[in-house]
Amino acid sequence: METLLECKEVSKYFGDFVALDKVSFSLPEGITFGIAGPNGAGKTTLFNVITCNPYPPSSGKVIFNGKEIQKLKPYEIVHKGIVRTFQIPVRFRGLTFIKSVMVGSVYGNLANLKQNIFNYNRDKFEKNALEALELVGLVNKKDEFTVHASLYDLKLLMIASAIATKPKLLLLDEPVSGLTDHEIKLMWDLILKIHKELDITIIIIEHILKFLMNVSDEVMILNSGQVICKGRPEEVAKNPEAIKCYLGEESKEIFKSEMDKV
Amino acid sequence: MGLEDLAAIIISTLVSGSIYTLMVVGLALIFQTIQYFNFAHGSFYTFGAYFVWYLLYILKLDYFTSVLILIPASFILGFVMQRFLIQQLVDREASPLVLILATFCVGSIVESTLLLIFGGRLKRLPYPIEGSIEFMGATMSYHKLLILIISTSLLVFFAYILNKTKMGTAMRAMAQEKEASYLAGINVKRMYATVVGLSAVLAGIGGWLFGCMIFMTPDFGSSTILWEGFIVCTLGGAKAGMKGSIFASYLVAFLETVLTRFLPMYNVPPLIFMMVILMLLIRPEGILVKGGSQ
Amino acid sequence: MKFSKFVIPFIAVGIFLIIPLILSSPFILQLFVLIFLYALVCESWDLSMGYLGLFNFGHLAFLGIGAYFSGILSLYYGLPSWIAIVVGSLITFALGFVLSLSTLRAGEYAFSIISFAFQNMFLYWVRSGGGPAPGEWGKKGLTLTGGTQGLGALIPVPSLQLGPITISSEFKVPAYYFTLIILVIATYAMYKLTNSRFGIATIALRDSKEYAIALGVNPLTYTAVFISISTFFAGLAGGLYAHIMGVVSPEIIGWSNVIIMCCIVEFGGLGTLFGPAAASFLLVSLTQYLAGLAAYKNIVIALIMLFTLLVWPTGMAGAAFWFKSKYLEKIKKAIFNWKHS
Repeated sequence: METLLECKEVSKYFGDFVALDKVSFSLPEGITFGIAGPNGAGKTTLFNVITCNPYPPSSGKVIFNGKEIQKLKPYEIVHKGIVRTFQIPVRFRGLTFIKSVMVGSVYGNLANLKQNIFNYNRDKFEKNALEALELVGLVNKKDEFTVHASLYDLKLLMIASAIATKPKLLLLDEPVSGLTDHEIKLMWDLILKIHKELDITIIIIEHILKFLMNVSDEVMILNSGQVICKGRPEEVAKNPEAIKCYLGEESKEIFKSEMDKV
Repeated sequence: MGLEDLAAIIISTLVSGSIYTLMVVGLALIFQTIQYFNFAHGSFYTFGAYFVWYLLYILKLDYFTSVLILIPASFILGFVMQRFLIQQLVDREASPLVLILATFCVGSIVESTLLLIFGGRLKRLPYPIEGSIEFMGATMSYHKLLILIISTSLLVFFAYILNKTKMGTAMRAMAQEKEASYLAGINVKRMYATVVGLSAVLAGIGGWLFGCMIFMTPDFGSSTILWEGFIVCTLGGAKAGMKGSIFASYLVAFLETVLTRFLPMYNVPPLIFMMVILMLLIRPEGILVKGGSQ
Repeated sequence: MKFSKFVIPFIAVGIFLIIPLILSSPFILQLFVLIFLYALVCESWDLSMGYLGLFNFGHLAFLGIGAYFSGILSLYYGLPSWIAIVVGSLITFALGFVLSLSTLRAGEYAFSIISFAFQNMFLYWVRSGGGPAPGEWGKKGLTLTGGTQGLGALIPVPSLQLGPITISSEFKVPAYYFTLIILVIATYAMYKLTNSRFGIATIALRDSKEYAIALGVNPLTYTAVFISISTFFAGLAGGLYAHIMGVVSPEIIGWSNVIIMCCIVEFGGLGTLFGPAAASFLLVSLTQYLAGLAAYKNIVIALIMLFTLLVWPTGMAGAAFWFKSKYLEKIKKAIFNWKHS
């Protein structure tokens, strides 16, 4: 399997504060990669610096498909094939569902964007957008304005817009936070479906560990900007350092025995 | 360039700078705490001058009393505007455009009302103190000295309030972290209104002092604000706050004095505006703010 | 179904087309010319403010550039009027593009401040006269911009000559129809722009710039396009004003008019082209009616604005949509029932 994305000693400083400290990992193509860690560990910051939106890394290299991308503009990175969703759902209040997805289908895909300067093929972009909406199950709401959308719909919409850019790598930031158990199950199915049908490599940040461990092929734990451990979910679950950063020294034993039962 | 030239430059810089400071510190304070640019500020300036004129000539009070009454009057003006009009918009999380337009309208109403009441003919306030002294070969009127004294004391007074009193700490907290301030039990609405009230007092006093030096028209406040006030705020930078705006006031005063003196052919204000534009392009955060997030 | 969206504008244009046949008062026709030009200015400002979310304080300065430059070119350099107007508009288009580049470096806040500074600078320059007029006129003591008296105060700016038709304030009817046609074409162009893929990108940028960029939108492209087109129309309106009215004075680009423009757009409804057009009809008439009473005019406009901002922020267009969604079905049913009873 090819290495799709590689981070080499990626660091990010805000003044004196170290948000990311020489984070390194490599991501093979086609897997689902999970990132977990306590609040403030730097997970979203990692997504931010990979996509250079809103800031690039302070130091280190991000290599995608063999080329360094840490110096590119954020929209250029989208055109190269990396797209992300946001932890707190964002929406375009002035647009309908389908138009929001069309932002992705028109602008996210460089091939589409270049092609249509001289012959604007609106039907094609609408079709791409409709397919994305169909995949996430939002087609019946396509002409509604996003102003009144529910949390779950917004999360689905973000994913649909991201898929419409036809990416190679999808970064999902806490896709199930704030959802009910039933919605989490639906999201789980959706992510598996995306992974299988669309052949997209996925990185997921999540707090709900059971979800993350079940969905991911590989997992990485971050704490205070540093990589605590990486590997297959079963191994990471038993790693004492990982357990310690969530629950503290004393809970190590209790948690270990619980995880053994799963 | 002789000593009296130098003295003249120093005096002019200090006096203009003090006037700008009075104008701008209030604006910067509002911008930092409530995060909008108060376009009604100029009208508070005009109000100050006309109110004193009214007390002096219509009610025939003596000078000292007039100025004394000006202080609570300006405060009420600012307080009411914020608490009952602008607060509604802030609560709705209105965009900066809306707040700017709303404050501009309030300013327009204030100044138009002044125009209706007092008429458009030029007026002038008398100097509170007549006479002048010599300073290094240049003459400086007592009025200008008064300006220096008043503005410096007011600044010191405000610095004291901001740094040492409970209310001032609350203001600084609100500037940095609005939601946490709510949680800490600070009555944010009243605080905001107080901030605007205080800023109006500064403007009112500045207007009074300035009104002695020029011929007043019912819109001189907003013209001055729109030109110099804005420049100073921009150079001072949104984030640099009090110190930045004070520094910028004197810097602009200095530049204006020097440029007017040595390049009398050129139009000075456009030059200053050009500098503002250049500065924004080169260093968007303002002169005093150090470094960015990287 | 798409046709129904345009019912009201079509009716309005229809009415406007026949007005000169009914009302022949030159004052009213001139007022309409002013309204049409104002509508053009406000609609184009809505492009930058309502769709893009950028507060361009300098919009009237662009109007002024169009007016003064085309006026100067035809008055002092003898350029045919229509060429002067086109040149003026192209200059404002280019300057608008340059202005939009400032967002690249320093963001929306800096854009507002730079446009503010630009407005002030231009006002100052115009008021100060800008130096002596070129050639013969300069020797007679005329300044380039006419200072506070205005350009064309002593010698009027040449009127617009289109073949056999002269368009100026002397011949009201041709001026009326000409500006109406220009307004309709410009509005149509702006409508197409905002409903194209450009429009989607711009609204996305306005609502959540970070997210739009995260989906691949290049903010500079769309900022540049919208701002340049917005300033182009401002310059066009300015050029037309100069040649039709014959005089350009600094008052028309002063701050009180900036506020009137903002008020019209806000009252009409930000981000809907037709709202500002309708609102300019109402408010320009109002200001003309109150023209003699400057203080009252300001107070009335300010109060209208405050009312809009505090009570009904979506403006006239918002009210129209609200009315339509709530009552239109009921009215249709009532008519249907009445017909079939």
